[in-house]
Amino acid sequence: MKIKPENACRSCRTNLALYEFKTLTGKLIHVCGRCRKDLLELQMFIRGDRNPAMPPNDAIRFFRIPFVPETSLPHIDSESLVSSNAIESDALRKFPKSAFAKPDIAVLHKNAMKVAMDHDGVKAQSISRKAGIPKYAVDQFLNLQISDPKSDYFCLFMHWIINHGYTLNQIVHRPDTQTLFPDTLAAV
Amino acid sequence: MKESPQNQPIDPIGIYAELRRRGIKHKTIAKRLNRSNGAITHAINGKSPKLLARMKRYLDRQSKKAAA
Repeated sequence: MKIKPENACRSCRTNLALYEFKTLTGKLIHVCGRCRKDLLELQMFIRGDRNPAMPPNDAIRFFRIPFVPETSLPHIDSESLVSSNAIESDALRKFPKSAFAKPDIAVLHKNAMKVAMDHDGVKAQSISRKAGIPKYAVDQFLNLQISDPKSDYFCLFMHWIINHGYTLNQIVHRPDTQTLFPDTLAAV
Repeated sequence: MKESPQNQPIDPIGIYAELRRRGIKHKTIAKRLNRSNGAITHAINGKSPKLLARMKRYLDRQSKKAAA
């Protein structure tokens, strides 16, 4: 039997939504079991908790996260953002698609993400195809706004960051993160 | 899909999903309605309108309980 949109998971939009999930913004959404598991894991990461079922922190490494000073946001320059400390757009192209099998998490500045999409000429709709990011992750980024919308930072499931930098725990507990992510950290 | 006695179309999956969202397990639904797990699945698939109507009444009772 076909699942109606109102009964479908808000995250993957394919499975039957059998669970309620409270997002970081306090909104109650209906999700399927699989997405609920992912979302709970994401919240744990943001809180700095570690799921005992997950491998040790050192085993999960994250891509260099774009730290864009808040002062530079109003006059954001797409070229410098992509080439300097934002997303290494080459990585999007070079990373093998096989590495996307299991979703993981990155915290990205929304402008950086948008710029990375625009820089590659990637429309939001096709980013999942091009970068191999799961479709539901893009949807979450664009629609769900798991993170605090006021903070301008978004959480995104991505696997391509693995083995390329810090763990999320390290990032969350870095002193400069505390100043850059105050709203996000306060919201969780 | 057949219509309920009140001539309102029943959405089988919707009823089931709503019950599950309230934390009621599939097995519990079956137990409360004195049916087997398979019978509930059968109803969810829209193949047992009578049981589906019963599920609907059960859902309504649960809603009343939750509201009270």
